[in-house]
Amino acid sequence: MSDWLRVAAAKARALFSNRRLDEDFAEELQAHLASLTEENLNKGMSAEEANRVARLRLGGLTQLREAHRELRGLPTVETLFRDVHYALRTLRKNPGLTLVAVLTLGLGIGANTAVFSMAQGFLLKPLSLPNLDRLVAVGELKAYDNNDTIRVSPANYLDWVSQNRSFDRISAFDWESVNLSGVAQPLAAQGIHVSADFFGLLGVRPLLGRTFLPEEDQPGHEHEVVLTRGLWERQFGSDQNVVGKTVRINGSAYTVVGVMDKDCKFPQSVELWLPLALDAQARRDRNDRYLQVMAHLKPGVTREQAQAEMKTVAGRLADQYPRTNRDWSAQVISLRDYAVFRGSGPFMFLLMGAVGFVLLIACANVANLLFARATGRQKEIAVRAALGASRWRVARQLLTESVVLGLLGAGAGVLLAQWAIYLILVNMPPDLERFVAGWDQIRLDGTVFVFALAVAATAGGLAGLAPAFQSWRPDLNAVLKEGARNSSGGRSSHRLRNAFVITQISLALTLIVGAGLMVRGFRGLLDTNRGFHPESLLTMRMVLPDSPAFKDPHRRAAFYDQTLKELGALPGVRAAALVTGFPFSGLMNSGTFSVQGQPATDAGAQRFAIIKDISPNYFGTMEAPLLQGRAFSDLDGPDSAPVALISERLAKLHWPSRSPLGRHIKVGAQDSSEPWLTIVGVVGDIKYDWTAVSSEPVIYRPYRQAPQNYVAFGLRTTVEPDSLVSAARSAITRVSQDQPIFNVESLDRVIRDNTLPIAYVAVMMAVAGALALLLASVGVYSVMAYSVAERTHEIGVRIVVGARPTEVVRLVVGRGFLLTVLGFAFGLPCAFGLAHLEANLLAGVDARDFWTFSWVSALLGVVSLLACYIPARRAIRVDPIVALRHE
Amino acid sequence: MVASKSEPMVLKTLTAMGPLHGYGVARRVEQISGQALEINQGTISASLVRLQQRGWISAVWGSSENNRRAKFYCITKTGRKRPSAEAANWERISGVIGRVLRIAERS
Repeated sequence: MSDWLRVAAAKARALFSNRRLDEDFAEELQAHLASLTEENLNKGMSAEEANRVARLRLGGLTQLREAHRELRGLPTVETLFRDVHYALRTLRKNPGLTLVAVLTLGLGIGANTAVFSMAQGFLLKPLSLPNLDRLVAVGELKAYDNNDTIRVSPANYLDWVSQNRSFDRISAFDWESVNLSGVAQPLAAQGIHVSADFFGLLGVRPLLGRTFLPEEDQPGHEHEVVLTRGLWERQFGSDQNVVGKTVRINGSAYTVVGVMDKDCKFPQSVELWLPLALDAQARRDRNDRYLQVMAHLKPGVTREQAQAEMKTVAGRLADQYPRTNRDWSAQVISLRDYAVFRGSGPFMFLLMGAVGFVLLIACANVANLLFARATGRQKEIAVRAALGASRWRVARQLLTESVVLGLLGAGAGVLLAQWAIYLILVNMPPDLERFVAGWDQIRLDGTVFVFALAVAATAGGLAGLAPAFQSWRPDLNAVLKEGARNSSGGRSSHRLRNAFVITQISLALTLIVGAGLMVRGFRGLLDTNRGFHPESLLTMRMVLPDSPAFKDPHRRAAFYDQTLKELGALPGVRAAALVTGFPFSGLMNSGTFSVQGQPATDAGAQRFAIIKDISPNYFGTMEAPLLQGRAFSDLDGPDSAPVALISERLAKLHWPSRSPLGRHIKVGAQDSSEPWLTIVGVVGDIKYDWTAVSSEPVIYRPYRQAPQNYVAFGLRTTVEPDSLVSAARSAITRVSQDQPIFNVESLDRVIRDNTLPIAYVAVMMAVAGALALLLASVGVYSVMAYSVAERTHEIGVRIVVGARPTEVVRLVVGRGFLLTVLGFAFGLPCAFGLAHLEANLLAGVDARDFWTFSWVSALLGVVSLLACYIPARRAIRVDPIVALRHE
Repeated sequence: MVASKSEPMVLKTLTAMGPLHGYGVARRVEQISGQALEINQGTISASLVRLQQRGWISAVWGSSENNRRAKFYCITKTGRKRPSAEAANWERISGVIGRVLRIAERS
């Protein structure tokens, strides 16, 4: 142990036994003094003289004791203790003020803490994987293309495996929605084919059994399955002996070899893992990019280095295989960024900003309270200064008080945050939870706690700055004079408090406008769907297995024909339609398309559209208008000429002044093997992707000409859609015994579930706005009430001199009105800024929403004038005699 | 700092004389320095506190030669290893100060 450590330890120990050490030292000094006196007596001095000389030799007892105390302990810490002690005592003496301040700060801190813990879950740890920091996603990227596909072809992946030097493990996976039977009820499950190294790369161990063996990702050996804990609990009743059992996946027998624990949920919506067995043909395939690849960085290798190396590798492959790899490069992004739900970042920052505003308003309130009290304490402070307390010492003591308040507020805030998080989590539908990355990570942990403390200390410090600053330059003359008359606070203190009110009003205005726009935007977003009455549309999804029975597109089309017929014949069903994904259902098949005779000039002008395959009655069922040309009919079959409908938006984008009818387009590149489609009509816009800010270009094809293996059916019902669920299920069973359907629910419900994140944001913005309104009105009220109380004497004089009540009211309210107007002057530009920000985040938000701006301004104006009027009413009831006597 | 100047002398004293109370240490230090330190005896207590904090000396309550309760200081094992270095340091510093003073006198 080094000397300074020992000294520190000794000093720290001394902190806790102050009194004993004091007595100890006093006794030691007395003994010393006695020895000295005795020595002097022996020299022949008189008793009195001996005592006096002894004291001189020893030195001043008080100074020695003081020096000893400083040397013995940690003076700074002791002062801090004393300040904290004193602060607690002062706060206890003003329970009302303390309670209001702690609650105010608690609201602000609690809101910040809750939102921070959400942000932490969504943005910082969307996955709970042990070595997340070293994991990256590697993808192919077409040069000059900003629409990164991040998918990789098998042959390129295998070359990456053998050629890279940046990764110690690399693994590929591929999605497949599989039909799981051999369990109680056949169901569609989200499967992921993974190479054998997958689990080792993630660094996770199974809960039961094992993961895949190296030879199990070879063709012919791939009949094993690993279950997620969720699927195991739901479908296997948490059977401890599930390992070794056989299930049927897409009709073939698979052995369950393991179950993973809860924390292994990658990719997010996975339900079971299967081996990725690439056969000889796939291993040579360089053109079909469908694999997703991730890797674990070697120790010491950074993501940037890996990125550079992979670019070199991809460049080499492009030279070697120009036909398939020309213009293709590679990119390496951190798995965290890859997993974060796209779009959640800006929304989280919006919320963080909102609660930050709430905290600032809360701080201004508390600063006001402390300020008012510091003004009342000017005498105490002046006395302390006169007794020799340095300015810093006084300021520090006031700051300590407010930081203690802040920390008490943190206590209240953490409790509030706990409650808020509970409310947030408990309202999440359980079947959605597993699709939201980071959802299960939202909790109050150590980091959140440290954040809350830091916010509290900052907030307390901020709130205490103004009073401390005021104490910094006490004008003793002024204090004495004002103390004698006790009329009103100094001019500078008025200015400061006015500034608080203006700031509060402008912050609140900005935030409430932001909240109002968000709520209205969200409702506007839902309203875009009102046209097709989602509440009377029962939808369900189906994925055909990748089996020989459905290899032939005609067989798929025939299967859908028959299903539509069965569903359409159900009693209570007016029409049954098919589409490859209903609006807002999260199913999006978007891609590039080409126009015949108009090659894309450069990569920047990529043509993108959502591609939907539909039954002829789709638009009738969705009640969307046909604007030009004709709709599809039953005659648009596999043997007739390929046709397409386009959305109004696409027509306007590409044929702004001419008719698109008769023109030819194709899905994919000019030279792709897809057929050219003749545009036969233009239909009204339907919004499919709620995250898109503007309406999207859409290409529709008849499903018989392009039968996909995944579809959704929609039944327009004349009865309550939910009452038809079992009838619809049995209708499907009549077509095929073991073809599962899933997500059988009304489109209304689908839309609500899919827009839930934005509903959360809207609700939380609304809560922040309400808090802002509450805190700001309390702030305005307290400042006005205080200023009326201060001016009681003056108002009394005015009444005596003959001022009428209305004049007094005008005097008080006038000042409040001026402050409100100034607050609006600063707040409105900020609100416009926030409105633009939100308009870029969410379709449905109109940055120039006059209605929202008006009602928010009116509301805030009325509330703040009311907050002025109540103290003004009190002012006119002032009894002039009492007022004049008022000290 | 006057107080820290006396630390090596306190250590020396305690090494040579064994356990002593504050008064005894102060007397002894005065004798060593030839009464040259015109300081209050009380300042010795600061040195005693510092040396205790460093763990070089320890203190126990006992009774003095004339049967008075007094605090006795004695050197610890750690302290015994230090004083030579400390003393050398002290002599070097005091030498420097002396030279500076002589230069100051001459000019």
